[in-house]
Amino acid sequence: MLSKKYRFFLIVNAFLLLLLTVACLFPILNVLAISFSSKAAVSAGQVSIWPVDFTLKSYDYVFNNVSFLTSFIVSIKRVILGVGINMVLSVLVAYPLSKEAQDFGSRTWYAWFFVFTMLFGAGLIPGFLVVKETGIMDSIWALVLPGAIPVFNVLLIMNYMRTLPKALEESSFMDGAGHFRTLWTVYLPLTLPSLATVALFSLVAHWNAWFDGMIYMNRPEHYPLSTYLQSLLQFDSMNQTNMSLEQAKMMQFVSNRTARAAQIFVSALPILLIYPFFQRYFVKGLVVGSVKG
Amino acid sequence: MQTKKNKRVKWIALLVVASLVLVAACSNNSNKEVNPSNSPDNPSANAPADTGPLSKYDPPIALTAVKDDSSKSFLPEGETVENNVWTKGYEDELGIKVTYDWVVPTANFGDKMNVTLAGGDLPDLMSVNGTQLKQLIEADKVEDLTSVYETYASPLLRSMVEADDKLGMKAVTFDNKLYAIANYTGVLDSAPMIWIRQDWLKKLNLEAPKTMQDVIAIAKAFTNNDPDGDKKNNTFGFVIAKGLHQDWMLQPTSFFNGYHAQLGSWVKDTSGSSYVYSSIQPEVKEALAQLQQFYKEGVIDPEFGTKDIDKALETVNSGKAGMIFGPMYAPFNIGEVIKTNKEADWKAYPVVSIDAETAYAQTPAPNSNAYVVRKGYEHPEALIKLLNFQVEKMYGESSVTERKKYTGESDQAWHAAVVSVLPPNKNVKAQINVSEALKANDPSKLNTEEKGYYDGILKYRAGDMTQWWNERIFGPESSQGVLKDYMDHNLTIANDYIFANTKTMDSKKATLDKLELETFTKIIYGAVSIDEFDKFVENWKKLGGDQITQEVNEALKK
Repeated sequence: MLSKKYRFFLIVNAFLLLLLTVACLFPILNVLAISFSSKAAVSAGQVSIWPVDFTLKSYDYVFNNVSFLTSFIVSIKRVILGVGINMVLSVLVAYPLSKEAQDFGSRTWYAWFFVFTMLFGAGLIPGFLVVKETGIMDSIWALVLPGAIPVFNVLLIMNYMRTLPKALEESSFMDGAGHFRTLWTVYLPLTLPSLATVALFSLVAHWNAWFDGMIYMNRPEHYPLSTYLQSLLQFDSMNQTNMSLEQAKMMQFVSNRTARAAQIFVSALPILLIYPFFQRYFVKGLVVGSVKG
Repeated sequence: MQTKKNKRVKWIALLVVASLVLVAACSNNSNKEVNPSNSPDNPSANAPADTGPLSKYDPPIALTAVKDDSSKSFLPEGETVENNVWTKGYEDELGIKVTYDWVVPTANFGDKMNVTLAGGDLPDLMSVNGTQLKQLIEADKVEDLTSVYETYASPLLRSMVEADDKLGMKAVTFDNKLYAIANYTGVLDSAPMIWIRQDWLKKLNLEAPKTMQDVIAIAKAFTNNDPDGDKKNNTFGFVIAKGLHQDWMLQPTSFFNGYHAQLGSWVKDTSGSSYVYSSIQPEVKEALAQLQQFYKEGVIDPEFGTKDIDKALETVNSGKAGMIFGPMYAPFNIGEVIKTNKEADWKAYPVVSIDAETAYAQTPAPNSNAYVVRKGYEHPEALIKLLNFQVEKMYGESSVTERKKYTGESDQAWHAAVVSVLPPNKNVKAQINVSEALKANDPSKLNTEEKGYYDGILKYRAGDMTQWWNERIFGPESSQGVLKDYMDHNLTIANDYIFANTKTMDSKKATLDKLELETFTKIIYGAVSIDEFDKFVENWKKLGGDQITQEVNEALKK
């Protein structure tokens, strides 16, 4: 039997969480409704969370829009390459760093080396120069290599690995396995929850990143999806107090809120769909690494 | 232990060496790229024999540039931003092979340009804004174009670049050296006006406004007298948005102009000897007081302070407001209501005065975009030739036969030209010509662009509501008609400061603009009394305004 106070707490809690959910859901539903509504209804402000004058025109436009589709493919490429590289390198870095200092002499030095990059960045221009001079400008590598090792993810995996009993490693060595084999057959299967968490982090990060696309890419057809979307949205808010007739005309051409909403929704969809599959690992992966048992 | 440490040192050394090799390899590469242009490979032999504005290079020269992709929706099938009728024309007729280092969407152009400038690897030809131009000149990275402009510019190009007393040129001339060709489009198009729902005026038996008092009366009538006829008190007199005059639409500047106040401009003070910032002048206070009064009476949307342009326009397009203060291109934004309500019609009216004195419409500093040539490029005159080429094909003698080819069905394909200037204030001329053609029923004298507006008006009159904007921007009673009125009677007042930001502006202007916006919004909301304005003026001066005023005066006295 629950105490009265506790029941009251549960109700209030549920109510607050519900409110939070609605607050999160409402903008998404609004965008969805706009994407299914007619242009006139949208510009008259009649659309909230239910489509007015239901139409599929915007989706027709989106799926026939070459720029959108090429950017979509670039984004998918980026995610596959980027997440792959992130994962391989994070694991390779995290494994040695998870060792005790007596087994790996300069562990502390290396750990600080990586943490340092997390705390201090060189800034935009040096980053741009490095990308330019290494000759990866305007290629997919400019999007995946500069952030190849997400240090925060490394720390998560490292902490998780340190919670595993040392005896596992010792017995593996005793059976004649080297470091690589131990990592591959013993550690990786056991760190799966944290790997899933980290993979989701880097997936979302790669999918949403737009700024690097904007400064490193030299052709719009090389833009990842989020950069493409950003350039669409930015057009509206160009900080200008005076425009020419040509710009105004162009703006009318570009500023199509229903089509924009459809593109936003389609681009958010993959992440929305992937989330549930990762979620079961999510909490476990984040928390387990933090408590040493 | 010892060996372990040695091993580590070895590895680090190896890494360092490897990275050095990598760096060296890369810098070698770039050296190779630069070398051919640097070598004394007789650039004079490449120079054209004559200095005609459109003479051809033989052998052809190469020119790198950068571009926005605004033309992509206007080019015919098979042509791209990088390979189209323009680039072909440059190569065939001028012997200039234009290639692009990068092409990005218009929205990202400024940012991309900034990192390119910082990266140091400049294209031969660039389009830059005022601040970037200033930086380039200070770093000595751009060519002085004075002499090539004098030698090569065609009379047609001159007529455009030097229009309005060389206003556009002045903004890019420093120490009597012309560093850039300004993309001067004229400032008249940016003059504010008042847009009123014509059908509401008629319904409430109101006259067109002749004075500011009329405007106030109309605003009140639109609010209280049920102009939309649904027997509910659910309309607003007019609409403003949270950005007030610092946004691209719905700026209440024409309202303030009626009180002889300008917003965000630099104007001569009453003595005429020095320049002052217009937003802190006492006239502004009067206009603000009236807006505060309006807010209290429900003439303004009570939520205006949270609404951006899109949101505020919803009120207009759902037929809940009957007046806006805005620029000549407003029909693109307020025309949605026409499509759903056939009765609806907006009409533009000029700024009117609150008293016996004439009211002037304020115009901003000219668009500061300009074309520059990288210092060290062997053919700085190529920029002038490219411009000569573009204006000739669009407005010169050859335009009769070739304009269509270069501007396409949409007449907008000129966005693909690597550099372009348009005749300043061409829209006013278009309105005059279109109105005459409509009267005479004879479009034969119109150019392609004007013919497009003419056809649009005929379509609208035949019932095609999507073409309505043609009538109200270019028709006999239109926004360009209002601008013509301004021009004919000299009814505009310019922003005298036409240069890039001064030093203190760079550091303080954003804060001051914010202060201005917040104070004005609070006053209109009635959250503070109108006398807060005086405090704002003091603060503005203290927080860097005085410094800026001084710098502006110095810059303008030069």
